Amino acid sequence: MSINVDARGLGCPQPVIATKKALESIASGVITTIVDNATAKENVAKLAAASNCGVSITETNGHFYIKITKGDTPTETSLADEDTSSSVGEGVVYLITQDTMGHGSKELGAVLMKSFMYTVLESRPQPKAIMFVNSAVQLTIAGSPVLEHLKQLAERGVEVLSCGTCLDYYNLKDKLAVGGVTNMFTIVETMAAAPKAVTI
Amino acid sequence: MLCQLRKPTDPNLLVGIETADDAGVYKLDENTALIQTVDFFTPIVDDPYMFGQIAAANSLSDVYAMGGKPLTVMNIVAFPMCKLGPEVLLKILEGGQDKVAEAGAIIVGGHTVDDDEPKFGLSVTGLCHPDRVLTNANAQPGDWLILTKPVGTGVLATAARADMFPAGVEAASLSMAALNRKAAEVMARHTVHACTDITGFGLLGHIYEMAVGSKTDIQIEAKSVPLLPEAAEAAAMGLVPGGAYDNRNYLSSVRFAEAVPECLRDLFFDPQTSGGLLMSVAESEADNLLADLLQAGIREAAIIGRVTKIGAGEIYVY
Amino acid sequence: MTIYGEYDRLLSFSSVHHAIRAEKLLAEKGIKVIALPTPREIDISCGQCLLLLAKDQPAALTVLRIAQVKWSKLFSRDAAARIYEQLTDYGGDAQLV
Repeated sequence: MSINVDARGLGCPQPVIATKKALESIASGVITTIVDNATAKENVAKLAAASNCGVSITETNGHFYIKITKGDTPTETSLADEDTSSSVGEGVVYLITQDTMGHGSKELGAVLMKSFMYTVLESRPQPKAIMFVNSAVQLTIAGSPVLEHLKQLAERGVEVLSCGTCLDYYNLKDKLAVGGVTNMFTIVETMAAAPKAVTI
Repeated sequence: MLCQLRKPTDPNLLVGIETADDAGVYKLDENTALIQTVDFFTPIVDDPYMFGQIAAANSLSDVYAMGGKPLTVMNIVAFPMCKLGPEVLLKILEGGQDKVAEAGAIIVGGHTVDDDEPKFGLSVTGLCHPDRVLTNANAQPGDWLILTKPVGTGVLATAARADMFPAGVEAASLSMAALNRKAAEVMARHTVHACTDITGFGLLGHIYEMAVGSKTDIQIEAKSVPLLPEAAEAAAMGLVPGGAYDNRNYLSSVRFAEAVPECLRDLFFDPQTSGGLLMSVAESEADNLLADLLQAGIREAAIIGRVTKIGAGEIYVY
Repeated sequence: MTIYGEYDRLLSFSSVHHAIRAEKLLAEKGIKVIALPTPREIDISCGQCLLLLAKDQPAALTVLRIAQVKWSKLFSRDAAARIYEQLTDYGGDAQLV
C-alpha cells in the first residue's frame, strides 16, 4: 500500500494532520508526504517516529519527500518492555554450516553472511540460539567479520554455540571469542526441541 | 533593530535598549521610577474574551518582570470591523478590561485601526522604586533559577489548530491568561538578583538573554521544568510551531545532554505567550522564595536550574 | 539499546562491488565502518550500505574520492527514531563538509 500526501502550500499543522490521517488508514505500507518547508519536514518526521515508523527524507528543489514506512517491524522498545526470557525462549534456532552464505562466490558469500548476522541482530523476536559447525566456527573466533554482531546477540541472551570438534579440527580452540563450546548431542537436541530450526 | 538608531544618553534612563530587557525604566525622583512597555499580537485562541484576557496579561507581565506595579494602560487595537463585527471586538475589550482591573490598573484610553487581521494588546505604564528595578542582567554565579509557569503554549496553540489535545489546550489558555501579579508581589518580599518573563524567544531564549546580560553560564535540569499537560505528547508528534525551529537555529550554542529527549528540547525552544517569571535568586533564599510562591497559589513554580559561573552565556541542559 | 546507535551516517551504494571495495578501503585506513543491508526505510531492494560516524565523514569521503570508489547517497541516521535524511549524493557537495 502506497499513499502520496502532497502537503505543499499547506500551513502548519496541516501537513502533520494529513499525514496522520493517511497513516491511520493503512495497516502497513508506505506514505510519501511532500512538503515545501523545513518546519513541516521536521514535524512530519517527528509524527512518523512517534508512530513507530521508519523515515527516509530526500530533497529536490526545496521540496522535501518524506517516505514513511509503516509495517510490522517491531521496535527496540518492544524488546525492552517484554520479559527477556519470553521473547528469546520462543525463538528460532539457526544452524550455520559454513563461514560464508550460499554457493558460488566466496566474496559475495562473506557479504551475505555479514548482512544475515546484522539482520538477525535487528530482528524481533530474537532467535533462541545460533550454532556454528564446520567452517562456520571461523565466525566465532577473534578477528571474525561478524564478531561484534554475535557479541551483541550474546549480550541480549541469545545462545551462541560453536561445535568443539570443529574448533579443534581447525586448531581454533583457544581463539573462541564469543559464546560457548558445544557438542553434537546438544546441537541435535536444540534443533529438535525448537519450534523452528533453520540451517544456513 | 533599535540598535541601529542613535542611543539616548540621559542619566535618568535606568534601563534602555542596551540589554534586551522587557521594558524601559526612567527615574523620576529618588523614590520613583517610571516603567513603560508595549506588546500586542494576533489571536491565539478562538474565544475573543479569552484573547483579550491573554493579550492583556501578556502586556502587563513585562512590568511585573521589572519589579514594578502597573498603573495605567492604553488599548492597542487592530480589527476588521466589517468582517468580524463590533460584538467580537467588545468581547476582546471586555477580556482586556477585566484583566487590567485584576491587576489593579486602569485603562485610560486607546487607539483602534482597521485591519484585515485582528490584533490586541496594551501599552502599559508602571511604577517601581529606582533602587529596586529588576533587570535580566544581574544573575549571580551560585544563584538558583525559579520559573513560575509551565511551558508549552506554542505547541498547544498548534495542537488547537489541529483540533487535538483539548485538555492541554484548555490548560494553556488558563495559564496564558494568568497574571504574574502574585508572583511579582512574592518576589518583592525577597532579594532577587534578576528577573525576566518568558515569551516569544522561548524558555531557552530568555535564559540565554539573562546569561549573556549577566555574563554568566547557566545549567538547566530538563526534568525540573514544569510542562503544560499534554504538551510533551503534542510536541513528540510534530505539533511544533515554526518559531520553535527559528529559536533553536538562533540558539545553536545551547548544549544538551544526550539523554534529553527531542520533545523536551522542542518545548524549551517553544515560543511562549504570556509565560511565567524567571527569577535568579541566591541559593540561601531559593527554598524560602519557592515556598512562598507555592503558598501564594503559584502551584507550578519550580527550581529549574542554576547560574554556574562567570562566562559568556553558555547554556547546558541536562 | 538501539543497534549501533552511535553511527549517525549511512552511505548507500548502487553496486555491491563498490560497497565491498569501499568497506575494505575504509577499514584499511582505520575508519570504523559497519556493513549492513539497506534499511527498508530507504529501499526495499537488497543493496549494501555502510554505517559511519559523522566525525569520520570528511575523511571517509576523501578516501573514497581519491580511490574513485563510487557511492550513491549519504544519509544522516537517527537510529533511535529510525529517521534517515539524505544529505547529498555522489557528485553533490558532500565533499565540502
